[in-house]
Amino acid sequence: MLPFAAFRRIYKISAGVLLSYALIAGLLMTLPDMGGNMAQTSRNVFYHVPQWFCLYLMMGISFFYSIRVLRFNRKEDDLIAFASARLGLFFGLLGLSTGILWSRVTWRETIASNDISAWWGWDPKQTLLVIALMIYLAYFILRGTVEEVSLKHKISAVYNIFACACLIPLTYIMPRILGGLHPGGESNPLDNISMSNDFRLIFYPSVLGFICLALWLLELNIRFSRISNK
Amino acid sequence: MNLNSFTGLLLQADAASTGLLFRSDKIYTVLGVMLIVWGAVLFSLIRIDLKLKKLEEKKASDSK
Repeated sequence: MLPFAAFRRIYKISAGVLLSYALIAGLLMTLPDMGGNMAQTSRNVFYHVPQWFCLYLMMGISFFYSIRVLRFNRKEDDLIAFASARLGLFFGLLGLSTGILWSRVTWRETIASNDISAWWGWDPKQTLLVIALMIYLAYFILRGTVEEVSLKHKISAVYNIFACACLIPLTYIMPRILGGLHPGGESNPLDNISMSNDFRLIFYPSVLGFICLALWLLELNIRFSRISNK
Repeated sequence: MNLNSFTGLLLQADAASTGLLFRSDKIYTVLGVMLIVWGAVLFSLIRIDLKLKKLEEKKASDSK
């Protein structure tokens, strides 16, 4: 059973209410001037960034349950580890897509659309994130190659722990060392601009809403897997 | 591509001509589309949740 089973109804209602609020307020609020050509595009911070929070949360849950697989060798733990890694990948792809769209209209606005560099500019954080997602993709391929169930659970748990150990250095530490245009990078001209209180009023509920949505999706995934595995 | 050239682009670009999707005069269209999409997602999630509940109850009664 999931540890948050008692809060199921709360996070479902919260996901609906908070994300509806983030959507309406996030698109209708008056924005302070962010400088550069950020302008209206800075609204994307309410949707793009929380998706990364969900990725880290899901991969964290997957990591925790992978350790439990090695400790107790239970099928249920493997099911949760697998479901949360799958959802983590989903939120990663969602964050990547919203990031590509955002960078297209800000960092690479003047480049023609038929030029591939208009969509992909090898920003360190973007690129390292793709590598991290590919490491997780290999986890799903690995699961498909082992037939013996108990061995499959153990091998995928070990690989999942390795993948999670790669995630933080690849997406958080190395982009800070290498620079780039994302906040925290050396060459980002918007790095000294902190988030205003107007932004925080929408950003934090949005983060919470996305986390509730991720937990809801995880619960549905696990329940579906349980039914189909019986 | 050199990252510094992106920094240059970022500083030189004209805010008024920025972005197709996020331009302020398009914001109501974007909001409308997003609300329809979100409503559909929310409706689907609730439906799936209820269907799963029914299946779980059926499984539980079958196993008794």
